Amino acid sequence: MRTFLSLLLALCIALGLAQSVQAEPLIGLKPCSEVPAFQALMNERLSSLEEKILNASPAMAPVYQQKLAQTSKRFERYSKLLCGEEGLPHLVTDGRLNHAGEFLIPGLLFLYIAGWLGWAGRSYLIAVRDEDSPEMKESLIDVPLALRCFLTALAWPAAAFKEIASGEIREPEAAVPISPR
Amino acid sequence: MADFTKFLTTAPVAFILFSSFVFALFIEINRFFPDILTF
Repeated sequence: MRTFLSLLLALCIALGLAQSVQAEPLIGLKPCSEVPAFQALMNERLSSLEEKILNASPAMAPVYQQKLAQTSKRFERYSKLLCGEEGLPHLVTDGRLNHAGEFLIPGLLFLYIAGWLGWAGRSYLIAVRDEDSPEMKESLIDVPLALRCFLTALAWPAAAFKEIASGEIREPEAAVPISPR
Repeated sequence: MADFTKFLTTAPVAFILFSSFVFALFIEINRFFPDILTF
């Protein structure tokens, strides 16, 4: 009950907090395509590459050609982001949804992958724990079992939620060893 | 052959095989989708 009430309080506070102002000029950033310094940087990079193409040997020209294509594609893509006065793109990381691709989605993906690997290792250790020689299975990996653990761990958020809800994730107090004192 | 597969599954060797695969995957992703800054 206490946990439930504290969760409810946390939810109320989270919902009650004033929404951050969504207007982009207020964070001092403008779309990169409107920032003069960004345009200058783009022109400088592209023209230096074009100059290199003109002076390059026939063997090197295609390399610079490819580099030019990649660079112009990069600037085209970054021009949709928000830039500061210095002409470099800034990523908006405060969780606003119209910039989710800049931090929110990669961040969640990172947490998902980190949790996936951790959960896979954990379930492997739990699976070998009750066998004859668990230490041996840690140095000589049981590959089919490990692959199975990796596959089942793909659903780790659901599995973790289930274990937390059922209390299975906790060890009883008596089972936790303490050092002599 | 059994000894060789056993050698391949020792933790350091398995780790090197696995990480070679992962690093190669990252290199290839960066080759085909260079300069990723956003999704």
